[in-house]
Amino acid sequence: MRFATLKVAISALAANKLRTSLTLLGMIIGVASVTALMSIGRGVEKQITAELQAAGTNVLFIFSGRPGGSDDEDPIRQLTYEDSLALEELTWDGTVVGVAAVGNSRNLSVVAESGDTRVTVQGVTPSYMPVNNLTIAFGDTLTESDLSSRAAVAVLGATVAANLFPDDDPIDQTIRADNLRLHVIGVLEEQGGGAFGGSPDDLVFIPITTAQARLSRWVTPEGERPVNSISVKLVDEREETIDAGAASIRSILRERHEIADDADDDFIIMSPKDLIEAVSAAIGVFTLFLGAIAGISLLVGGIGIMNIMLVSVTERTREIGIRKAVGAKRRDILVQFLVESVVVSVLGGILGILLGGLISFGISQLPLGPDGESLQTAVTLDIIVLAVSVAATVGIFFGIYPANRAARLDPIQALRYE
Amino acid sequence: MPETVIETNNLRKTYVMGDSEIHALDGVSVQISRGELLAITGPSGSGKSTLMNILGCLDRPDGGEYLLDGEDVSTLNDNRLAEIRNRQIGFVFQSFNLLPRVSALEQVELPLLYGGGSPGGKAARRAQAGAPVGGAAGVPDAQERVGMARDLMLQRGGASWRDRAREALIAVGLEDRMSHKPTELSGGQQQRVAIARALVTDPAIILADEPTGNLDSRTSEELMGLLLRLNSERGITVVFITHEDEIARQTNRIVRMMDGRIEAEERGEKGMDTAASADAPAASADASGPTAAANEPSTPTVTSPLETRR
Repeated sequence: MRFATLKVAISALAANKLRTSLTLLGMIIGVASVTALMSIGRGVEKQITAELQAAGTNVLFIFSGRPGGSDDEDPIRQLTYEDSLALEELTWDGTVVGVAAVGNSRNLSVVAESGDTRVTVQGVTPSYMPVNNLTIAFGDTLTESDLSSRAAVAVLGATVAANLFPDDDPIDQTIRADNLRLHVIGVLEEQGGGAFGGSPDDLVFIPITTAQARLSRWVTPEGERPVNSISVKLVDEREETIDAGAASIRSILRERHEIADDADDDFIIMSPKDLIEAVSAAIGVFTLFLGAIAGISLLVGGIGIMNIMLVSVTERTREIGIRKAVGAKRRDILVQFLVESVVVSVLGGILGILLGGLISFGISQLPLGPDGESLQTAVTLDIIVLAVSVAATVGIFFGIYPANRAARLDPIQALRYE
Repeated sequence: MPETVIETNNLRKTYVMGDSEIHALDGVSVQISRGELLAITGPSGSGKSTLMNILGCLDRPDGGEYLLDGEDVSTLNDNRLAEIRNRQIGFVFQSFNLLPRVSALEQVELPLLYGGGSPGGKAARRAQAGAPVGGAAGVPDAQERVGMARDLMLQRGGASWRDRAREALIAVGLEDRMSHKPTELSGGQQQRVAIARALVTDPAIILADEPTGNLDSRTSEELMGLLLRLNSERGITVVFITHEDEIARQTNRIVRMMDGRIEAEERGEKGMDTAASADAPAASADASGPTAAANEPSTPTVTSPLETRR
C-alpha cells in the first residue's frame, strides 16, 4: 500500500469531520467496553492467583480421578483415609511436613442457642489447619486424641462463629448439626478470600473420624473410608522438592491402589502451579466471555462503519468515476475505501483502548467490596493486541462490502452521477 | 502518410430499452491519424457519446474492432482497459470532473499515481513520443523556450510525479495556481487543470467532451486556443466531441454522426495546415510579453503557455 493511499483516506475522512467522529465514537465505545471488561477479568485473575500463592505454593492437592488424557475406563479406587495414613511415612525423611485428609463434607443446617445457619461441615484431620496455614483465633484446635476418640467437637470458621454467636463467646457452647451435637472448642482466625472452593471462614471443622462415624458411613469395597482429598505440605516450594514429593506420593498411591505398570493413575496430584494454571484458565474463559459480550457493541460499531461507508460510496460516486477514468483499477478503488474504513476502525481502536484503560482505572479506585475493598483491574498487553486486531478485522470485514461496491461501479454511470 | 493512432471497423453498440433495441452505434468505421485534430459532432442521441465512451476505453463495443495504437482493445478486460485509459487516453469533460478538495497539483498527479511503476518511468517513452512541434516558426524566443522545456524533461530521466505534474500545469499556464483547490479556481482554470491532468501521462489521444460547454464565450476561446496549441505544438491528437459547430469548425476534420452512423465527413477550417494556425497565437504572445499571465481570465488574447514559463 502506498503512503499516498493513506493520505487520500485521511483527507477524505477529514472532509466530513462530524460524520467521521460519530463513526469513530461507535468504535471507541465498542473497544473501550471490551478493554474495560477484560481488564476486570484480568484483575480478578491476578487477585485470585495472588491469594492462591498466599495459601502456600508448597502444598500438593490429591483427589480421585483420571489424569487428563487418560481413556482408562476401569473403575476408580477412591482415595481413602488409609491412603492418607500411608502417606504419613513421607514425613519421616523431612521433605513432607504434613498430610491432611479432607473427608466428605455435608451441607447441614446448624443450630445454636442464639442462631442458626446453613453451613458445610467438613471432617478433617488435625493436620488440616497447619497444612492450610489456618490459625486458631481463640480456643483450641482439633487434636490427635479428638481423632482417635471420634470426639463430637467442632472448630468454627470466623463467619460461622459470628453468625451463630453474634453476642456470646462460642467456646464451650453446643451446636446441633442434624442429629449431631457438637461441642465448640475453637474459632479460626478470619481468612478472607476463599477464591477457590469457598472460604474456610464459612466452614465447620470436625474430626474426620467423627464425620465418618456420624455423617457418612460409606466404605470402599476394600473396607477403607473414602476421603474427598488429601493435602500434602512439603518442606519448601522449590520445583525439585515439589516434583520429588509428587513422585513419592504417586508411587505410594499406585502401590496401594494396585495399579498395573501400564495403567493410568486413578488419582490426580495437583501442584500449586497446576492449580493456579487451572484457575487462570477458568478465569481466562470468563474474561473472554466478558469480552465477547462487550464485543457486541464492537459489532454495532462495525455496522456503523459499514453504514457510513455505503453513504460515502454513494456520495462519492462521481469521484470514483473520475478516478476510474484516469486509470484507477477496481483494486485501487477497493483499497482506497478499505483503507478508509480500517483507518476509522484502528483509530477508534486506539482511542477506545485509552478510554477503556481510563474506565478500568476508575473502577479500580471504587470501593466495590462489602468492606470497601476495590476490584483490581489490569489492562494487559494481550488485551491491547486483541482489541486492536479485532478493531482492524471489524474495519476490513465491514469495509469490504462498501469498498467492493465502489470498485464495481461502472465508470460511465459513475461519471454521469449527479 | 501519417501514422494511424485510432482505427475502428464497423463498431456496434446496442442498448435494450424495454422491448425495443436502440442501436447507439450502427457500424462506425473511423480512422484518426497521430497529431490530428478531429471533431465528432451530431445531435443528441446520434451516438457520439457512445462513440466517445468506446474510444475512451470506458466501454466496450458489442461488435466490430477498435485498434488503439495498433492494439485491439475492444475485447480487453476491465483492468486492462483501466491501464489503457491511464497510459493512452486523456479526458477533458464538460463538467471538468476534478476531485473536490484536492489541489491542482495533486489532481494532475492522480493518473501518475494509478500508473504505478517508478515515478518518471515513462521518461524514455516521453522522449520517443516525439518532440513537441515547434509551432512558432520564425519566433526564436518561443522556440528556445520549447526547447528548454524539453531539455528539462529529458535531463530529468527520473523526474518525480510531482515534477511531471508541475510541468503539465506549466504547460497549461497554471504555474501560480498549483496549490489551489477547485473551489478556488475559475471555470476556465478548472478546465485547464483537467487538461493538464489529461496531458500528464503523454497519452496517444486527448478526448474532449464538450470541453467549453460550461464556460463563457471568452473563456471558451482561451480554452480552445490552449487545446489547439497543444495539438499544434506538441503533436497531441485531440478529438472533440461536440454539438457546437463553432468548435467543430476549428479542427482539421469533422465527423458528423446521425442515428449511430457516420453521416458525413468534412474538412474543418484548419484543414491539415498546422503551420498557418500557429502564427496567430505566437504573434500575440510576443505582443503581450513574457510576463503576461496566461491564466488570467481577463487576458484579452490567447497566449502560449509555454512562452509564459518563468
